[in-house]
Amino acid sequence: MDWSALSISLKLAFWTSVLLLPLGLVLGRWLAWYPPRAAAWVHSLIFLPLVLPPTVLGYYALLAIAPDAPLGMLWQSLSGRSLAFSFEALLLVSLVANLPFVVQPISNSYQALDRDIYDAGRVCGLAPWSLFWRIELPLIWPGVLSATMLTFTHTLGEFGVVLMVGGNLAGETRTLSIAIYDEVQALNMSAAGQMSLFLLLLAFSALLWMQWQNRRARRLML
Amino acid sequence: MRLYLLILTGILSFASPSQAESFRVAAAADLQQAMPHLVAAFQQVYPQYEPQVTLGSSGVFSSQLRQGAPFQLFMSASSVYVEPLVAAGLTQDEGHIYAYGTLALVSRSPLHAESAQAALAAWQAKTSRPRLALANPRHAPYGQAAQDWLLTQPKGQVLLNSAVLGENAAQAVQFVFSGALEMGVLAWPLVQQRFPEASVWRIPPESHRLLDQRMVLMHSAGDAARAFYHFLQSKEARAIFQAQGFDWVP
Repeated sequence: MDWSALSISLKLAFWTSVLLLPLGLVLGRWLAWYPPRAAAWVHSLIFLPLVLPPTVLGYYALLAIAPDAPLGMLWQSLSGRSLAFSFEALLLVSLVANLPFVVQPISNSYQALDRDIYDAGRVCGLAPWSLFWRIELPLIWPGVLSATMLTFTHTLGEFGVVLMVGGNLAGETRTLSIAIYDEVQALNMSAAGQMSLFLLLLAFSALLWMQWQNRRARRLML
Repeated sequence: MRLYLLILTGILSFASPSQAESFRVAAAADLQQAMPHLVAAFQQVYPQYEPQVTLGSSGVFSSQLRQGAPFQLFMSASSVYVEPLVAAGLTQDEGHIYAYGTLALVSRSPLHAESAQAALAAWQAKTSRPRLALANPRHAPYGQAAQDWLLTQPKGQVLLNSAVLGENAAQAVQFVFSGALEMGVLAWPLVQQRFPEASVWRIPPESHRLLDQRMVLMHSAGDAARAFYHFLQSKEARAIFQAQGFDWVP
């Protein structure tokens, strides 16, 4: 097992999920409750990473983070480091690639939420922040859970974009899925098998846990 | 909840940097077998330095280096991919040729043939839809050399059109080794110790472009990378290269 690759995979998955969640909540709520006139456009834009080949995403990401591109230059002047082929670049692309996975479940939950309960809370004089914590969040909890789990597991499985943008650097951008690819090329089938089995079990148990949590949450709501 | 936090802090603090000073090496995939030996011998002399090796196709590395990839030493499988970097002023100098590579034709099943040419012809005669493995000629020097040789063979263009292209020299070997393909035009250093002698035929180097393997230090290179660069030119490293199937003269 390549422990450094595992830790990078987990780190990437963790930060992608944590950073995307607030954005997912804002976007999901907005799209479900206050659909903009150009909703079709916004939806199409958010879902784009789901259908695009990872190489297309990777291509544009490479252009965006190049040392002579605006984003790359901005990063360089702020952090003093080059953005290209860094963990931060990987995280940035991962945020874009996972946007649909976090927006969709949360938006669905908001759509299913009974607005009467929300209005009742508002009539009772709850502040917007309390409304969110005490009414919205508990009711959309299954959606939040799904969003987080999907993002986490999907990030662990990301390959094409990671290889293109990260460049397979040990200890920086070599994730577990890249390490498996490397081991297969080196004909180290047993090492590749170990890591593959680990990811398989991790992904399956995460999905299983999500199903259980969703069922429990639904039962609590009834 | 506390347990989660504990696990998370565990995860996030996991990657503790090692004590040794590490540096990044972009190495052509044909060095896959030689690299562990070279690194081990280097660390005997310099235990304080730690090379972090990424293997891949030289063309891909060359383009990544132009985009600012943080490698300090680039070990290409051909000078062709070093020259643009030198011209762009990204390297410390024009580098150094550390070895010459050669090709071999490899078959999974034993074939009675005297030469690579005869083996290829015999295999074509008994196979209805021959599919060869080779590295991608678009960006892998071994793929370009394989293409050169194939074009000197009868029906070479047909074989090229139906060839299965590996991302780099090592993946092309994996295609054959795994049994997915019957035959490949592969990097000799990657197959010399892994396939039985009866199913490997070396390809004369005159029949393809020179695989003059050049390495070069990038501007970011420090003492550690420089020490490795000099070690790779030593007698000891030379012996390892030779044992791993590389030549010293074209």
